[in-house]
Amino acid sequence: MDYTESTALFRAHAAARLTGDTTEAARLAAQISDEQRMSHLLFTLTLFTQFVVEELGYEPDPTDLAALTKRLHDKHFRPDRPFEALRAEAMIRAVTAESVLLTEIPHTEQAAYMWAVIDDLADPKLTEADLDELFDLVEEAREDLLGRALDSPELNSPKREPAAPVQTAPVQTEPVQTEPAQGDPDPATPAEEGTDA
Amino acid sequence: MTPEALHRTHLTALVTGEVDTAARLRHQFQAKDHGIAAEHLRAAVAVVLEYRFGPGAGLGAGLIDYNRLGEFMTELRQAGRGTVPPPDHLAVEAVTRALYGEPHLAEPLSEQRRSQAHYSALAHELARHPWLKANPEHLVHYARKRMTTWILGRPED
Repeated sequence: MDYTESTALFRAHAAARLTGDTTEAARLAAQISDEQRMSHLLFTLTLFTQFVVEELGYEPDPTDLAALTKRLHDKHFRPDRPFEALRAEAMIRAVTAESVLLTEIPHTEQAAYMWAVIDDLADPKLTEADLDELFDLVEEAREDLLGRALDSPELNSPKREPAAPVQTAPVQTEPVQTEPAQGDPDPATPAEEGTDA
Repeated sequence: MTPEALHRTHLTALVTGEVDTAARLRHQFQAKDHGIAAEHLRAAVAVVLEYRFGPGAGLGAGLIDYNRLGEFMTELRQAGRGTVPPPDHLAVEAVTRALYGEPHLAEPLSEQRRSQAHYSALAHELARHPWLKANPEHLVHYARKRMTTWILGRPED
């Protein structure tokens, strides 16, 4: 599945979740492969950031956050379900002013805590047009977020992954691949460069 | 050793940083003693954090000053850098805020995680107050008074 297809799947999954279609959300979640997990986590992180910044701003007031955290605790914590509301709050702070917190919450739990916050912040009556607009913003913000919040320029350009298999062939061959490499805008280009050598 | 003396000695060892002595004393614990020791530790943390965050820790204080909390957490993160396994800083934040009007934050933590977080907070603050560490009976005395207040709902007569 290439970058565009992955993104379409992530969007569809998030749309189902945001509109409360739990059956469809579960069906789509099952299609997200292990290889896509990290990519999906980053997509969710960007979506989450969009909601946080929209609803709480870049510098959320700690007292407002404390109230939100209490609300989430009351809603989700049960003795047999160890929901740590502070981790949900920490996700919010991680994408605003305290990126260090992103390293202190287990990755396996991050999506669940982000969704707990999104469910609290999101308008339950989002229309399809709202969702499209939202997801477009998310895609725009994705690169920006990677650069700013994670401060890691190497991760900054998922769209420009080199088409490794083609580059390793120095002699001129017909590009046999029918599927474009992930996100590569023009798979033929590297092979043509190879002919110049 | 009476149970009272046992807990007093155990908390004293935690305050002075004699962790081996504390561990040896825990071998004498009966099942219920672990919870009691955890409360002693929490009381000592409440007393010591008041130097930093103001009075009323665990006694109805309002919300913590989040700027001062931020400074505290930054200090802890700097002190804990490179530690393996990494310290559970968010648990320390949870137990600290729990003493200042947000008791629900500590609720999801197991007793062990809670006690570890309390111990981290205590050890960090005592490093800044050498006198308290050198005179453990002072802190132990006030911690026991704090516990009495928690149990009776009012200070001892």
